[in-house]
Amino acid sequence: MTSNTVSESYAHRLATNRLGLWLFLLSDAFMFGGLFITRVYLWGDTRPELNQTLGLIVTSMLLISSFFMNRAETAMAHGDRKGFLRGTLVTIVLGIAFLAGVIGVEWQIAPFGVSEDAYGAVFFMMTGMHAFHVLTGVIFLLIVWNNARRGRYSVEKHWAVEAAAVYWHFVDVVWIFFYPALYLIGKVG
Amino acid sequence: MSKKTNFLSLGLVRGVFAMLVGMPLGMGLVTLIRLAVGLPAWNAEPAWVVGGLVGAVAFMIGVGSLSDWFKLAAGGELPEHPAGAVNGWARYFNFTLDHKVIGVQYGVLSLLMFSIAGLFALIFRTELVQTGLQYLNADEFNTLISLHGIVMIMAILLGVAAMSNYLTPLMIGANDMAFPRLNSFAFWINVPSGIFLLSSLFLGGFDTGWTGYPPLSVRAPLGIQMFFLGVYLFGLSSILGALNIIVTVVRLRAPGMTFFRMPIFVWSAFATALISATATQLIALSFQMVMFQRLFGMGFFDPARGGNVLLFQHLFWFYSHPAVYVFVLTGLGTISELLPVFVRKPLFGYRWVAVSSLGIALIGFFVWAHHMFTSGMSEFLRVPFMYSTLLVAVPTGVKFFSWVATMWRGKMSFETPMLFVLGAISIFLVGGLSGPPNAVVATDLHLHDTYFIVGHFHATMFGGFVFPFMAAVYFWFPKVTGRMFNERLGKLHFWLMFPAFFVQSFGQMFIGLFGMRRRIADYDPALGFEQPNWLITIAGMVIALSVLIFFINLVYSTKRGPVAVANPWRSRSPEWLLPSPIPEHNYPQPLEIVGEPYDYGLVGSVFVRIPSTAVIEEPVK
Amino acid sequence: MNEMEKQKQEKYKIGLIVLGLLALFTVGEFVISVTGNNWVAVFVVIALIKAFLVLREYMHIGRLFGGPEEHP
Repeated sequence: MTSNTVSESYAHRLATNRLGLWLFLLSDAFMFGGLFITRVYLWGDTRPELNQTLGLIVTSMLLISSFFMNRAETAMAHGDRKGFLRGTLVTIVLGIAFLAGVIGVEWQIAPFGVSEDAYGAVFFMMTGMHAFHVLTGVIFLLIVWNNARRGRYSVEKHWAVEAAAVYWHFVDVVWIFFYPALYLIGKVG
Repeated sequence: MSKKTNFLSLGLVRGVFAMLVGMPLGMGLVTLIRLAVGLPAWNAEPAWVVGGLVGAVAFMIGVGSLSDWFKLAAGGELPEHPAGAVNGWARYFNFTLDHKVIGVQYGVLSLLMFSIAGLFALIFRTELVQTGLQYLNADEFNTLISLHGIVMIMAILLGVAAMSNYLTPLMIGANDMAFPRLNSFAFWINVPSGIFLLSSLFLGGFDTGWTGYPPLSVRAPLGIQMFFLGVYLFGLSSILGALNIIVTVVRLRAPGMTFFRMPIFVWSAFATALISATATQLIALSFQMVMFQRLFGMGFFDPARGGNVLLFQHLFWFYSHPAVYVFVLTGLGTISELLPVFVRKPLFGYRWVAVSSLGIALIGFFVWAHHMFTSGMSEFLRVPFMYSTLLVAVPTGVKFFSWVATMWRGKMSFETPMLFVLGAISIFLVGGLSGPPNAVVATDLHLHDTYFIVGHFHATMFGGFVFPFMAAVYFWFPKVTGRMFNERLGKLHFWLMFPAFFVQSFGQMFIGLFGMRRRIADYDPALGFEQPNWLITIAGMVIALSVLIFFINLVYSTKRGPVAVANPWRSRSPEWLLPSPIPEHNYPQPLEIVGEPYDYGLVGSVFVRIPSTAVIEEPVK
Repeated sequence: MNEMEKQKQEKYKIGLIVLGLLALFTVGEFVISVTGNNWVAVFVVIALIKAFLVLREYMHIGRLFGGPEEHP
């Protein structure tokens, strides 16, 4: 590959990887968009009665986790490995707390079952698909955290860190839309 | 050069074994979970679904597709291009990074699925020759038409991927795809997918047609879950493959290869990939929702619980209509690519043709509801969707005018690939012209769900994919194998397939206009459709015979064909600068772009050259 | 190294500002909803602003279109 037609420098490779990751996220966004459309189609201008306090708490946890993720990535880009490990650990803990809040609490106290009506179907599908992405994000972060601990990344070369961070923020962005869709918009029906 | 390869060490074989282990494991897992939460231990549906998923993952592990990524996750480093582990024929059955091998893998699997789906068609077509049910019952008939549809779609997607994988990096002067491991993953995931689709035959089949509309699909036998799984996996393949194509085209073009100097095929592969990478998510989502309605009783499509079946149709067609542009755009790109070669004239309106592919892809996102004019959706949606659908004819027309103008006063020669190109153009014209009657609400209300639709889409599929694909196989056969195919058999293939296709397609449209319903196992003898149905079936058999000749030609010529000359068609495309078959890392030196791609017949013009080697220059007459 | 540390603190500060804005908007939409208002357009606009902030400042979408690395 030394005599490639296109220079195979790390910077070139990095930009290629970036485009690939963002296209994947774009593709994934269509799936979440489909879920959003489903919510609008089946619920219209109504929403189920959900625990507002819990909704605000889990949303805050996810947003704060994004803040720490950003901090961690910035730390890595500036040679602060300790800061990265700390920030990522907080992110992981908050991510798991989010999962516990949604699946462990919200799913149990929801005033409808999975198979009861369209409220149940859409609510469990949207939160479930999102939680699945949070879970994969946590696993991704654990892998990156472990590799960083063993010194696999440097200031110049830490694409895996960037990818994990961008993916994490993407999952956050999805929730930015899902939170009002599930908890805020519409009259309680 | 190929060392003796043990059969059991082939990736494919290892994958299948792993799958055979994985599926029972998954089934056991479900059973254990069910026991743990106090449900009755055995339930066939979740067991097969989870078993299938675990089996698919096991297959990918067995084939060796995931080992590099596991290594990476464990903190290892990966070489950009590891030294070729396997050589010779065995690499076609193994995990490999070479985009040309993957392209051939796609192509062969495509032809295999194509034959299976065609066989299903012959079985149920023969049943239709006479009224009454002779040797199939209604359920078997329905399963066969459904599988014919979906397996054909899979075959076409594989064929599209075959062409874009093999050709795109070569045409833009790259040495491989942007993500070779992802590329190989995207191919191999199709194998479990195909196994699942076909296994539905043995799990009760499914009687919904390939569209799988609820509420029918909610009540269908277990086979439909395997159908969903299969679609899910090849959809994943489609998304990842498309993503790879986009990144490759954007990032790996040779210096000087601007967007408007790319071979036109690359444009269509790019436009195709834009659709596949995004819209495919929605068919997956719609099928997943039906799957979950069956597994967990979620009420998405149950009106009694506030669900709505129309939601499924909206989500489903948001992919499944653009999907037809995925099928045809690559084919139309092939036509535009090959036509100038055999006419020895520049492609007329290169820029317009290039942009028209993007235009079709874009408009394709806004036409889905024309499949739903009779579904009971809000009536005000009908007219906007009618107009957006008719708008598709504009960029498609651009392509047609370009082809006609390219041929105008050209020096045509009629080798087999050219015959298939011309056949494709004429058939696609029929397919295209029979489209607007379906798009216009007033006529569609009559035509909906009749055999006219069947005739229409078979014409678009044959003109937009099958014929161009055959042209491409013949055209690049010497490049892939280094040998020439048998021209006489190739012409025989064409002259059997071409007229037979017209009989079939016009026959279908004819009986459709007179009221023959599609997807129906039996019809009233008083309608007088026995004779046309008989003709259609005979035509279908002739097509099958011609495809058989095609296969014989391919197999025989791969082994015994005469060694091909360096550039048998005098094409200007960069891949013909390289020896055939092409060595593992395509270009020894960076490609230099010095001219325009389609200046055929312009004396002394050059498109590309590799420094210190030959150029393809237009000769003086 | 000192220069790098300063840059890092600078970026930390931006991250904190973004978090503040996100908190502000989230509390805003929450209050709008629990006080019984159903202003769909406002919810949509707030979500779009929040998403824009995250895409721009946390996900660095600009890197996609920018030239080579801006790392020190």
